[in-house]
Amino acid sequence: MEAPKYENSVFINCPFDKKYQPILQAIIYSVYRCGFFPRTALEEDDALESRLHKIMRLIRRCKYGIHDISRIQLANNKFPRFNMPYELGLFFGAKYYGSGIQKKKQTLVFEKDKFSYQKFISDLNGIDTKAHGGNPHEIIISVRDWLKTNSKRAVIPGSALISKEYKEFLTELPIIVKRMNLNPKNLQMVDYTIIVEEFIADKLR
Amino acid sequence: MAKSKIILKSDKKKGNVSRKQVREAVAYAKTAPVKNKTSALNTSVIISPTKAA
Repeated sequence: MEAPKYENSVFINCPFDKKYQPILQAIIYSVYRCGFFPRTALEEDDALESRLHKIMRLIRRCKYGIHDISRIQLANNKFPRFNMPYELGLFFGAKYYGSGIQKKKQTLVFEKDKFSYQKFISDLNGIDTKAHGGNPHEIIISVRDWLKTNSKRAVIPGSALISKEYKEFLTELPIIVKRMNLNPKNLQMVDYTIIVEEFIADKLR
Repeated sequence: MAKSKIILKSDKKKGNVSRKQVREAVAYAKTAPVKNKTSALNTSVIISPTKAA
């Protein structure tokens, strides 16, 4: 199978911590359900490629980028995590300094509470962020509306339908994982995405 | 509203599970009793980085 096309690919820059899993999973589901392909640093394991090079390669291949900069708390080691703002900067840089299709990049920036970014990353002033409040339903609405507006595709379903299906998915996912003898506490991204793909494919039959 | 018929799929060779297995599990979950689905909500699923086979 060919690699996903640039105009169908969405770079997901989101915390992977346990606390943020509902956000990450809602983003991935919404992107798939809208007919796009999510790309994350979690999707492959190649010891020969550094994490930064992997991220830059993914960014180059994605027209769209969804960035969640809501993780601003100090980690257990009392230091903040800068990965998300850093990768957001890389994405902006690719659009600004890149040429050709790189100039067509589109960005959705999430934060938890509206304008909280002004307190820790004021360079983003003027950027229209979306506040998700930690609510997966808000994520689905924002991701769907943003992809619809920017891609102008007619086939993207409404957010109410996506939310309804996602609730069903959440109730059936643990059963699917158990049936497949996979570990729900350590489900590899590649397996998760295949489950999402087949769940949605089943819905569309 | 008409359903979108577009679903992009990742490389079939990737992953630790076969598509056939997943389809079977999806079909199984769909017909699972409501009480099973309700109790399943207490199980949180955590995504982790993909590991090379």
